[in-house]
Amino acid sequence: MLNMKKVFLAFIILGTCATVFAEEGESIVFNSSTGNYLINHYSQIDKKFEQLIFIPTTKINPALKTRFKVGRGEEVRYGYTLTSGRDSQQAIRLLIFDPVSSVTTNLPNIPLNAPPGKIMGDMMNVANYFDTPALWNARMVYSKGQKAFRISWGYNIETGGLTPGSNVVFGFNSRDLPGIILAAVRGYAPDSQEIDGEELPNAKDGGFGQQYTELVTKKNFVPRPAAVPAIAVPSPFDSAVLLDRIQTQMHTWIGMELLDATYSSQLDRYFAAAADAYRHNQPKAGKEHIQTLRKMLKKEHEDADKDDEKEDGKYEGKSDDKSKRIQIDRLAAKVLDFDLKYVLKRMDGNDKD
Amino acid sequence: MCDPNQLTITISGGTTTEPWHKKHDPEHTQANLPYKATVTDQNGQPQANVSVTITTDVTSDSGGHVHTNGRPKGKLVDQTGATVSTKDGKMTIPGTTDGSGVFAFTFGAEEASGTHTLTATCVGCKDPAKSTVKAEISGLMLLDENPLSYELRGSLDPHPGNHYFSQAAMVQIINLAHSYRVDKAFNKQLMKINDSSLIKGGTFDVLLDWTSESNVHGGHRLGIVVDINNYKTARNTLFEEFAFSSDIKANWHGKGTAPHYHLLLLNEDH
Repeated sequence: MLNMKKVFLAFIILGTCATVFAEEGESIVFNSSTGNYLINHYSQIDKKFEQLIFIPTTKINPALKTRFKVGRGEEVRYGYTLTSGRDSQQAIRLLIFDPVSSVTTNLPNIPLNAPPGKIMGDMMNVANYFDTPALWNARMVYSKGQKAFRISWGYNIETGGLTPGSNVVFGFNSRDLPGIILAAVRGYAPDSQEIDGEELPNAKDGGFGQQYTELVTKKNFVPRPAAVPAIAVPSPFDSAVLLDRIQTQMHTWIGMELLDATYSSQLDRYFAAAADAYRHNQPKAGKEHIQTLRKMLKKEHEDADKDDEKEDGKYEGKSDDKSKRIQIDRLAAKVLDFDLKYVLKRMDGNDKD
Repeated sequence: MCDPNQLTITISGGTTTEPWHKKHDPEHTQANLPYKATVTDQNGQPQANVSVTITTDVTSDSGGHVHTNGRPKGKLVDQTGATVSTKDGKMTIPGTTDGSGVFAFTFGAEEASGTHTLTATCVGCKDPAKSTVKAEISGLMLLDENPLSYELRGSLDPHPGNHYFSQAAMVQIINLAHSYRVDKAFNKQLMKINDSSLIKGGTFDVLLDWTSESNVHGGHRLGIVVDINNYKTARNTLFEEFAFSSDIKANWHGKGTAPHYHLLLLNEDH
């Protein structure tokens, strides 16, 4: 019997092909010349092997440019320009931000962790306030666990999408300060073939099933770093607490390869000193430590404190000096400087020591 | 003196286990429970070399299966000196108590969820001993009807409760259905929600044969997938992307006579 056969997993790279084997005869073969995957799979329904060509929705080269600036009141205005590279082979149809801590519109704020159901209508109404170009549809749902939001823009026609070389602009407002996440961008692959929905393999089998599931779900998009609302400003305002939150957010960038761990440790010292100073009612000292942090960022990226965004959004961790080892990605430096500048602004006039 | 007609038999072991997943556990080493049948005399002293018989039965209509033909009742295996596997187990097994007055065996669940009763008897025992074991996926919840927001369908007499979900999946399907109702792309349609899982999970044997092997509902065991019937002829890109926007994978089931979408509410099957 098929299910009695010993499962084994091997990853072989032979010339242009990478292969994952599982149950005897079941395999996933990547063809680097086409970018597609040849899937050999035993159909439980048809009782025979079948071959499928899975076309990933990743044959795109998107650039995601983020802008953020303080708008009216204490709101932060977030804007995004999504550009499809001229070398993209597919139209782009979907952009997803997850998690996003909050958004602000003229409507009442959506609470986190509301009972499922009717709240989705309220979220849809909120999404209608987002900057959304023609032919695109904004959506807002809860992130898994309902402790944040998942915001997306999708092309609202059955075919087509953002073509290579063109761009679209999205945006929204939030009271929260920016952090960085990896946005998901998906292309259009209408001819892609997948295993029939009612005979999917076991996603936890450690072999073919797991590889297949990850391929069609967790890996079927292109990630791009984006600044999104991530840091809630404490109310009543507390600069030490806010600095702790900014630092916690900053640490997540190490895993995204936007921040060098050693450099992060250097920043940590001044974060701790600044927060400690504010906790001990020494705002002048706190301000000096923050200024030191900002100088460190400016040393890495000359334009870290500039509003104008030169960043082209590609996920490359750029530095001004090409010969220099990258300590912090330019977008990360700009986000961090923005957040620190916000702390200083709120503390202006409160110097006591 | 020991009165052979005044012996007492007791039975002890687990009370719950998960339904057997035949495809992923062909050796049946996971979905089973160790049990002991113990024989003592009127003074409470263990009795060795007593012949015992263990039988297993299943409660009709339990596990959400309101059909009876050929229902398997569980797999008993003599564990004495053996591994805990219950592969090829039987509904009735004989045994003999050891020096501690114990006969050890295992109970193995079937693919179908349900409530089983184990009965132990012995030569010379006054009364049989009974124990109940439930084969179930715990924590599944019924999706309530809400005709203004979505349409529940697919309930059939043999499986009257076909909309049970895990807690995390329940949140996903309710939110998805409500979003679908108000999303501009779908013209205020109601989402047509068909089978998810039975009340206690386990095999959803649409062919009424107590196994997932022969049917196309193999993934409907844990309350984390659901079938959607709004699209019956071909894939719909907008719907697939709508689902992805909610972190849900929509898989097209195009084989057979009733094409539909099979949603992985937590991005995994089985």
